[in-house]
Formats: sequence, structure tokens, C-alpha cells
Amino acid sequence: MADSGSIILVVNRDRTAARHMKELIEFMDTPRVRTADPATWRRRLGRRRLEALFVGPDLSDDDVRDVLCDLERLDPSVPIVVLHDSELS
Amino acid sequence: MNEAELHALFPWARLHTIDYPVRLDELGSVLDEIHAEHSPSGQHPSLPKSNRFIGESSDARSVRKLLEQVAPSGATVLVTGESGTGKEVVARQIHELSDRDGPFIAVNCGAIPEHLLESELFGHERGAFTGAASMRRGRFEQANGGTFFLDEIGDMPPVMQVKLLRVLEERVIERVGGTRSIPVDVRLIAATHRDLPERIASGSFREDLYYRLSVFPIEISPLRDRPDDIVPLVVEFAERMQATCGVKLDFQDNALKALCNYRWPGNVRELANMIERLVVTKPNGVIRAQDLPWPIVASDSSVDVLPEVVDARLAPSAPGIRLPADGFDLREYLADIEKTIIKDALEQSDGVVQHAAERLGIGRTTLVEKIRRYGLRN
Repeated sequence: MADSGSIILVVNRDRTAARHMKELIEFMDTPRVRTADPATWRRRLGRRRLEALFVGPDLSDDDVRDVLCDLERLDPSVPIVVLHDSELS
Repeated sequence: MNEAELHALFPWARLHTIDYPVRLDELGSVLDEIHAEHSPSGQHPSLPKSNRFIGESSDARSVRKLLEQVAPSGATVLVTGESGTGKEVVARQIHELSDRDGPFIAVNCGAIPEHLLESELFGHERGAFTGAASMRRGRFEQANGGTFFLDEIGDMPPVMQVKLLRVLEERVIERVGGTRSIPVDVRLIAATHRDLPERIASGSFREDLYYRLSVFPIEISPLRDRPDDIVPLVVEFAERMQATCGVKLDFQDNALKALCNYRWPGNVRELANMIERLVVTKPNGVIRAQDLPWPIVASDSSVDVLPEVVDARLAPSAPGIRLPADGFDLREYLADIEKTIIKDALEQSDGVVQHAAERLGIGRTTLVEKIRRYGLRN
């Protein structure tokens, strides 16, 4: 299990959807979930360790690319969960 | 961007894709996988990871020379040493000094349940087993073009040893539930605190795998055998904590002496953890021998662990605190110390209770009660 200083981040532009996702993850007995938008997620993380990064369904391709490039620099071993909007596909 | 495009653009990424709105069973499966993957690397979370093997001892210099020699070669390396000696630091430094562009990926074989290890290392196809909600690349694929650090290789189950041997021989992997052989360009560094020859003799480790892994062995000696490294490590960790927390630790000479006399059973990791704890417990930054954790102080005969104020007056009657092998009555011991100090305070105050109480920093009523309890009225 993760150490107490680690968090899961949900990165999404729509804050309501991000909060809904956070509640779902917490419902699955996974505490320490935070939400952030793609521009500020690194700042939101601070010095905490990232256990996983959830990439929200409303991010543009450019957003996803930027977030993943930043993550590669931060720690490429962090699991990434991409939420794919099934209603758009 | 679909899953295939993401994999093509970010081959290093540990990607999971799930449909949104999410199904709870799918989310649960992915979270289970993440929790299983999230194995601690052994580094302390609050200390920034170091890619430098610190030390001025001849052993440390020798390790640095070896890793500089082997880094550019691409040879498989086996790093051995007790837990906490810095095996992952050596592996990271080898990777940094090599010309490999891919990522450094670390897996602790001992931290992952046996039934998850194959999927962790080699990945799995979607539907390969119950709960495999999406295809996932394993750590070998993620390390493609880079370095794969397999920690605690001595704890790897025999069935996985066979599969690892195949990867080393053929440089291909197969995902769980898949049939395709996937080529991987990975430099392998393995590490263990186990005695592998002994494990071979007992039949729990494959001899052929051992020889495949130990192309270039590097042995790290325990910290107790290289005391010359302790002060440079203290300085390094203190500087890192200052950069992280803004607290400057100032170690007094008697503290450094106690640290050098300690045997460090947890090795460098124990030292790093201790310094992080001191940042919390001593935020003013001045560290005296008495401020160090109990086992360190207790192991150093040159340090009297009593606070200075007590030490100056009680040295003859309380010659340091050492727990006898058969234990002792702590309450009685502390009461003896208290009684001696009160007696001393009364003598220095010519028996004036009010003055003695002021010297001791306690209330007059409290002191009167203690004088009565210890029979010091005369």
C-alpha cells in the first residue's frame, strides 16, 4: 500500500466531474484523492508522492500530452489512468 | 487520443484506460492493480532521491570506481549488500552514467505478491485474468531503452526465475495472456541482500540465473564497516533536508562522535531516517549527542545521556543510562534521580523551599509534596 504521504490526483477541466471521480475513488476505500486542472496539477501535488494520476475525460489531446510529458519528467513509473469518454466514441 | 495512440506516444507510460462514466467493478480492478504496483522503492519518501553514492572510505571509492567502469558497457550488474546500504542508489547512478535514453524503472520482487509478479514484470493483455480490465504493459516494456532495476532478486519465486532467465537469454517478453514475443532493449541491474550462493546450495535460487546476473558484481559493505562515510553522509542528508524543509541542522562534535561510534544496523537508510526525524524534533537545528535517538546514545560509552543540568550534578550517582540485560525498574530509577536533584537543590538553597522550587522550576507546593514523599524534611 502507498505511504501516508502519497496521493492520487484526478486531473480534469470540469471541476464537478473531477469531484465526482474523486468521490468514486474514495468510495473504493482509496483515501487521499485530490483534484486539479491540467495547468496546476504539479503545484497541487507539491512535494507529496504521486500514487497514480487519473486523466479526466474532458482534457484535450494537447492537455493530455502536456500532462504526460510533465509526468515523465517527474516520475515515469507512476500509473496513469486515462478516462475515455465512452459516450463520445 | 485512443489507447493505441497513447501507447505509441508515451511508450514508457504505465497506462490503464477505462471508460467514462466509470463502472465500479472496472475502477476497482484498476485501483487494485495500482495498489499492487505501488511498491516502495526503499527510499525515504521525504528525502529527495540521490543518484550519487556518497562516501570517502576506500570501500565507497571502490564502489564508485566500479560503477563508473561498468556504466557505459551495458553489462548486467548484480549489486549485493545488506538492506539500506544504497543498492538502488548505485543502480540509479549506473543508469545516469550510461548513455541509455530510456527510463529507470525499479521493481522490488519481495514487495509484490507472487501471483501478481508476472503481470507486473511482463504486463498482461486485456481479459488475461479476472480483473484484467485493460491491457497493461509490464515493467520490462516500460524500461525499454533504459534500465530495469530488480531489487530483492533473491526473493524471486523459482517459476519467475525461469521466465527472467529467458528474457536475459532471448531479450523478448510475452505479456500474460498474450502469444506474441515482444523484443525489449533493457539493461538489467539486480540487487539482493541475500547470500545467493547459499540460496543456490539450498535449491531456492537457480545457478544459471545467478551466473547470468553476476556478469559484473558490485558488493556494498555495511555502514559499520566504513565509518569514514558517516560524516559525509550526515552532511549530505542534512543539506538535502535543508533544501527541502529549510531547517539547517548543526551537529555538535559529541553528536558526530556518537554517530560514528554507532553500528547502524539499518545502514544508510537508518541514518537518513534519523536525520529526517531530527528535523521534526529539533527544529532549532542544534544537535547535541543527547538529542540523538536512544539506541545511538546508549551504544556510545563516551556520551552521558543525561541532560547537562543533571549531568553536572549527578554524574557520580547516575553514570549514564544503560539498560541492563535483565532490565530494571524505570520508575524507581527516575525517582532516585528526582530525589537526588531535590536534595541538591535544597542544599544549594540552604533549605529554603521557595528558593529550591525556583531553582527547579516547579511550584512550592509541588516541591513540598515531593520532599514529604522522599523523606527529605530533615
